[in-house]
Amino acid sequence: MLEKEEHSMERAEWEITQLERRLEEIENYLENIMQTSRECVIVTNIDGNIIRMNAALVDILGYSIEELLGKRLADITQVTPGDYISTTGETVVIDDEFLADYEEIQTRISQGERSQYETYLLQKCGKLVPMEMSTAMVYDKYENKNGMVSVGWDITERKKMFEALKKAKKKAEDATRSKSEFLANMSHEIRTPMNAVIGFTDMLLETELDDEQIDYVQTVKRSGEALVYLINDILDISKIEAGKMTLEEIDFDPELLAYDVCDLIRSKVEGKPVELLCHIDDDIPSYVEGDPAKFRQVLVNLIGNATKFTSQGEIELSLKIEEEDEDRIKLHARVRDTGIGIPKDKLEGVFEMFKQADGSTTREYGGTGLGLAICKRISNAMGGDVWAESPADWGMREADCGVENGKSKIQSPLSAIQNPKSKIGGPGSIFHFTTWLKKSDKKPSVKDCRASLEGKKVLVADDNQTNLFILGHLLDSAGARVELVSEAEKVEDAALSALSKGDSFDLGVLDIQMPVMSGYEVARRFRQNEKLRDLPLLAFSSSTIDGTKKSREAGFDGFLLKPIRREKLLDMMERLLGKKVGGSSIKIGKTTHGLAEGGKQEISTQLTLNEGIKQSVRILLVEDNPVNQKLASKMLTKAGYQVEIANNGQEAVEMYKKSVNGCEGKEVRKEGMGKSETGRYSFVFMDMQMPVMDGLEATKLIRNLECGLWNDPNAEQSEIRNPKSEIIRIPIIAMTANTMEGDREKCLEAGMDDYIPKPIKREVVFDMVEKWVKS
Amino acid sequence: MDVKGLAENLGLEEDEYLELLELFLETTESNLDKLRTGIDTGDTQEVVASSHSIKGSSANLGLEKIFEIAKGVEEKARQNGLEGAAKAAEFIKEQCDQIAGEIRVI
Repeated sequence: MLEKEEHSMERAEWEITQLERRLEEIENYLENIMQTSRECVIVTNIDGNIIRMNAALVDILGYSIEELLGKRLADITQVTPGDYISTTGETVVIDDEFLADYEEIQTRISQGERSQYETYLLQKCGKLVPMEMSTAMVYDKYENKNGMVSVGWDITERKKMFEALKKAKKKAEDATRSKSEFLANMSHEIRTPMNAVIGFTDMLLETELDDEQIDYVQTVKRSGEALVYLINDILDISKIEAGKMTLEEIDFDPELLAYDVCDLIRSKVEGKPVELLCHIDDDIPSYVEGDPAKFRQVLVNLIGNATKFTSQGEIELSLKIEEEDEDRIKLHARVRDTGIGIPKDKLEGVFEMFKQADGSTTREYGGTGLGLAICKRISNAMGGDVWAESPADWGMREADCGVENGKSKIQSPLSAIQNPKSKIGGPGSIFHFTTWLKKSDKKPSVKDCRASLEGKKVLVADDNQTNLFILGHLLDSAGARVELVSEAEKVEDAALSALSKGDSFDLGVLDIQMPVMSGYEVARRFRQNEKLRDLPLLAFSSSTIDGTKKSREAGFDGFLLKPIRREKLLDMMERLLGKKVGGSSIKIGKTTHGLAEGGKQEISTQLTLNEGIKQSVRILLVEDNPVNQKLASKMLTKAGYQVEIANNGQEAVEMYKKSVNGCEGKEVRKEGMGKSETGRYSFVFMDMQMPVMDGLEATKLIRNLECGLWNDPNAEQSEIRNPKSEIIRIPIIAMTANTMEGDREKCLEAGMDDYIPKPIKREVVFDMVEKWVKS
Repeated sequence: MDVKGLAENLGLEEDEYLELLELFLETTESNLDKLRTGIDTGDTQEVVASSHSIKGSSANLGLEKIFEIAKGVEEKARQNGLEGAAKAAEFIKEQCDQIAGEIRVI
């Protein structure tokens, strides 16, 4: 029995020895793995004391094993805040934020999360080693926390590389920026003397020169101008690349802008058989918010480009809405031409800097090769794009005209019309420009409420199908009944046939340049025909040369240049419909001024319309000096504006008050040409230094009135009369001989909008008037 | 005096410019009175106001000599200085008389 017990004791001891040996083997095995690992291993007990580590850690930290065994983990990880040198050579700042982050990671680990993170370990010599660590809790078999194990990598090299890359990137960016800044400065420095060169060349041209000299000087001038264009383009590009292009946010009328651009471009096609057309979709809003100057720049560039490459045919600018969301609108402008076109494989290339479709075109057509690149960048900055299409991409002409919408009743006569002109010219190209713009809060004026055109029957003759479509659509949407004729020789018959059916025309609109028979000839025939003599006729021409004179001689009543804004065209038509022709029957409609007097045949032109607008501009001139009063009012009245004079600030305030009150009683007319006969002033020219009350004081009072007028509870009457009316801020422009520094700021601070220094110059004054009347 | 040129600069007819000149002489006469009173009583405010008025109108009409002098008087008076002002007033008066003489000839 005892023997048996002894035996079992021996057996147990043996087993224990075996187990211990096995344990030792595992221990060695693990220790070997740990020590051969290139990664650092740190094991701590539950109290945070380091109980194990490997050679890699010893190597990195520079402590001996014994030294480390006496430390807590916190001794090498939780550094006191301050500046340290890192093994990368950089200075590392350990701040509270860094420590808080570290603390958070430790908390997550102690909650059982296995965490990988970057941190620093403190070397014996005091340097910090950047480490990537992976840490987890260790548990015993009862799931109690037993300690913590961390494995880490020295990431000094990686950090060094990262820093080097960051530096290189910054250096590269700085280089680009300073290059662009240098370009911008240099361009400015060149531009200044170039302006002098061109200016003096102009003056030289005004002196007496022989033909040879004139030729030389003109070459100097042209070259100088070309250089300035190039510099401006470079300046634009470098501004964009230097990140200095800023986009404004101003309310503007995209339709007005499009026609402005056409006006500007017209001179470039003058003398060429090229029709310039403009087609604005009906749903284009009256106002959008964006950068009108940039918008305009892109359009001018694209259309200007089209004029360069189009020798005959037509150039059409169209504008429509591409997309719309709650507070933004995406406009899509297309510029279609019938020029030389662009080969398909060059379509992308034209938007690169200094590249044209064909290197040789530069010599023939000029240009800097930067314009389209600039357009592309501007449009991208405005959230859109610019791209080109070659003729192979666009299908039938109908698509261009937008007839596929099919909502217009003039569709059928249109599709039947054959257009000889549109087949003229090259393969052509289409440039597209899209841009996101904000919707404007500015109240849109109602576009098509022309009672006087409602139901009127209008005959339109033009051999250009696109133009016929545009005109037809425009008149149709204004409520007129339209008949379109594309052949000049059939116009008279059309008019006679309508007459015989008892449904005669109220107005005729004739293109001038038509094949077989010109518009002049058609008009002459009408005037010679007893039955058609009284029909008001409007000449709608592409050529400015002698147009007005010839049209008057041929018997036209009005003359307009293509393309013309919808508003202007409708204004003109109203004017003609209200006009008495040939001294006989009186047409229905309102009578207007500018009537033929004493049998003398007068013709209405765009100028007549502008005059009408000008006369509706009322200017309040505040000035105490009689000389200045008289001079300014002479200048302005001569130019066709209405001027009223206040002798000092006090009078000005009184007159302003009266004008506003008087206005409330009457109806505020905003639509149409704005020919308001009401008392409101369009704007104020204000002298600064005056007796009784000076300009600053008066401005402040007027600004207060403007606010008080609409906030005053007693003024609720006005709000009822004109509920949607916003506070109308009258532009006040300082006119002063105080040209010292700071005066301008004083004016603006007091609530003035602009500033003209004395002596007053005509150009400055008129520019100012136009600027503020337009806005 | 180049009346034609001065008128053209302003976009006016010759007779319109002459009319303005006469108005200028009248106005300046009363401004000069105020200027002298200001100088006599040491009222720099008055001197600033009257010389400022002369300055603005002469500049507008392109009468550079008068403009320069009036400007000088105004600037000095703004710093409370009145020395030379009386002499300047005299000079402006002379200039005006000269212009008046020329107008009569035209």
